[in-house]
Amino acid sequence: MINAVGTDLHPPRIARAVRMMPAFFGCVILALGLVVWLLQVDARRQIDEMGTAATDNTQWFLAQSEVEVLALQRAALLLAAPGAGADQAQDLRQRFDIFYSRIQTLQQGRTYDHLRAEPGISTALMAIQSGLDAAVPVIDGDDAGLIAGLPRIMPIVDAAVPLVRQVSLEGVRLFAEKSALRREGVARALTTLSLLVVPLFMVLAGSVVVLAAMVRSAGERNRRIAAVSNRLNSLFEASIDAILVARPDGRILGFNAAAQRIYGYDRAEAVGADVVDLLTPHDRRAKVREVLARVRDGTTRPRAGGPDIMQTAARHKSGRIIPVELSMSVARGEDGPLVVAFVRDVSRRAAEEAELIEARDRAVAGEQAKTRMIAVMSHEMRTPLNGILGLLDLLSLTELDDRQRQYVAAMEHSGRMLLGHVNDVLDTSRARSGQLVLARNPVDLRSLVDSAILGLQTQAQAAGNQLMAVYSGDDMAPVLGDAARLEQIVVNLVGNAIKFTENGHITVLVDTSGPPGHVTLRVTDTGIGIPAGDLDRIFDAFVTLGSTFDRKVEGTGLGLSIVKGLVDAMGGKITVSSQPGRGTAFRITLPLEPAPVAPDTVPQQAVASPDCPGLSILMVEDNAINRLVAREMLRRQGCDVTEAEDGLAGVAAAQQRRFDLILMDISMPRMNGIDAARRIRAGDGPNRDCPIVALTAHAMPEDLASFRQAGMDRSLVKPLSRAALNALLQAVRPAGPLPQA
Amino acid sequence: MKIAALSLLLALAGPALADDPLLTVVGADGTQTYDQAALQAFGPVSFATSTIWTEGQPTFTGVPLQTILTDAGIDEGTVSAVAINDYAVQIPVDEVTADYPIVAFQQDGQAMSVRDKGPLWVIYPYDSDPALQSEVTYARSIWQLVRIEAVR
Repeated sequence: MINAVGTDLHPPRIARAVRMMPAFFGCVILALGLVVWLLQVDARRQIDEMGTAATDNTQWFLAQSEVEVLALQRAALLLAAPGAGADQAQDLRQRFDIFYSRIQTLQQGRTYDHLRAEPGISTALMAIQSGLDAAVPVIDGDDAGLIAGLPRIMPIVDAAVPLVRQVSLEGVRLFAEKSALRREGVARALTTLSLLVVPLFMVLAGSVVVLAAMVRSAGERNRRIAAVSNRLNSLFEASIDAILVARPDGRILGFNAAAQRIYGYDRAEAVGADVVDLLTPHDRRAKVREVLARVRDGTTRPRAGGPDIMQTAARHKSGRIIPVELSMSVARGEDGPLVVAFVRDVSRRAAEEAELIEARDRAVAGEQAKTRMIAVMSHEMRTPLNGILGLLDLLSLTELDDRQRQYVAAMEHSGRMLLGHVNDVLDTSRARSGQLVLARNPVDLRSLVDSAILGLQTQAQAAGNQLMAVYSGDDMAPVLGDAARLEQIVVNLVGNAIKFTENGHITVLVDTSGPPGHVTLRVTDTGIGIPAGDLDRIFDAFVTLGSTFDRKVEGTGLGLSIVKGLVDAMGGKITVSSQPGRGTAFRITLPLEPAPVAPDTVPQQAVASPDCPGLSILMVEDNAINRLVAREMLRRQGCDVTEAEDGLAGVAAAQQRRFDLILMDISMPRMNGIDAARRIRAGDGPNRDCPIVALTAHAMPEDLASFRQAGMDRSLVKPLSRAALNALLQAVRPAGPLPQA
Repeated sequence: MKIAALSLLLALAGPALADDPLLTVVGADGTQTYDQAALQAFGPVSFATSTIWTEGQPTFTGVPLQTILTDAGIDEGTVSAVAINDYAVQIPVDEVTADYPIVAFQQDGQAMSVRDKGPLWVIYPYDSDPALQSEVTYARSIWQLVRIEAVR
């Protein structure tokens, strides 16, 4: 399975040849062995033939026959000698019989068939036989007859001697030839045998060489396998991750050093134990058993791209549950599949993750607390500031000499600037905490931009700049959007441009020529520009690049941050490009849908309408200074003002008499404005139908909805300005016909 | 002496008489002689076999050699079998079995003359076992047997 271990396999064809080799050698050896065996059987037979005496000692027999014929001749001679008697006769008879029996044997014996086949021998034997047969009557006669017949017997015996000699010599020659032939045959057989033994030996030697080579190669392979196994074992042991090898029935077969460290069990304890009982937490046992069963049934499929890494848990010897990462694979074992699991202890990482999450939560909570604090602080700062500005407004209406007027103007300027800063901070924190809610009202972009620029002209001219707006695109139809926020974007960008430009040009380009629903806004200046390195962070909060320049720059550094926040909230995009010394260009694209109807162009009545015939107004407001400012403003308009210092007092006052208008602060002690308004509307007092206007420091659109629900039709954003108050009074008066003059 | 010689002469000249001693066995305890009747008394056995010296497959009848040796008190060592012409061959006693060789005195039911290699012929059943068709066996198949001596 591991190719890296380097078990090289012979190509298939060679492997097959190698596999066939023993069989081939076996066949050759078998065939040669068979031939050799047949030959040796033949040789054995021939050698046996030499050993068996089918032939008897023929030569001895023939020689003995000569001896016997000579003994017969001698016995005859002895009988013929003078004084010979019965003994010699008896001796002759016996010698005759012995010789006779020999000739008989030569005539009849199977051994001598081939002798008799020789014509010379056969003739000689026949001649001897006929001689002996002729002598028989004499021999078998009495002694006297025998002696008398000797002259007849003697020639017969004398004639037999050379004949027997002839047979003997002929026989010796024949047997010599025959044994020579036989020896030759044996020699040939032995030679063939030895010739065959040579190739047999060579084949055997060859197979020994091949076997030796095979043994060597097997040894080499064994060494390689041992090396691989050793390498695998050291991998197994050196692994940082625990490696478990188990059978599908759960029995642990392998448990490396890391496993001992992670699980706390010795190898001796773990090997042979059940992987589920020993190492798996209770709540996961069923699932692990299921996995093992799938492995046993062979229904696990190897995944493409390696095994999954699972986040799971393991059980330490102490019972502690350890978070682990586990990857599992199935290996083929000797008897069935094996599960191999790599287990990594991730408890430290889990702890670190938990720590990180906690740190993040703390940071987020801290950030939220900070944002909340800023919001509260800004709000709290705004209330007294409104008081100051309101009173300054009032002060400016009083009889003042020129210096005093100058001072009041300066104070008002400073106050407005301070209010601007506070509002900036408030907006930023709102945008950050995601509390920014955008209105969707019809907006006339052209008039919005014009009016914004108009307000900034003075400031621009103070730095010697020319500020102008350019409109591109033929259709300047109203769009749906949050007019205040759009104006804020323009004001902030232009304000920023003015800060960094002296005696230059500032241009605002509004382009609606793109695809419908998209508006491009560009603000370019010919100012000092922004170094490339700072371009990234200019949209961060509280960044003022001015500090790096000679020029002192006013501001909180929140302007661009707010723009960015607003653009993001509107789903738009802002980009900046700049060349130091040449100028800067901000480009904003905003998705602004065309407004379905023409904007509600309420004809802004001339602010000057000082005459306000004595409307009776109930003013519910907890802040004494605010009450003072509002009361003074209303009285100047000729209104009759009744004051209440909280919601409860306001409800009580509303119960007393009928008012033309109720101004209701929202956040108040004892009873807030919303509850108070609801109570007045729900009650049956004289002011049930009286217009109630909410006074609020934070005019959030969602707040407006709840005001309306409580019966407050309109709202005024604090600080109250005379213009806004006058507009309100103008609006209220025709709405409600006054019952009394 | 003369009478004895004469009687011997007579015996040899004519057909063998039933009571002529045919075989002399010299054992450790002395000498035994056996005539036709004595051999017959041992209970002769017969078998047919071809030989290298005869034609066909004659039936030989005779007394197992072992029977004779036992009768003569020879049960070990080697015996020397001697023929009428003083041809002699050595036969180890422990190679003599109860069945063969036999000392045959009849061939095809007829007594054998000296001319027919008689009157006694040591015969093995050569056909029954190729091992018996050996030089040694053939050499021990002594014909015209007259005497057996125990070898010291």
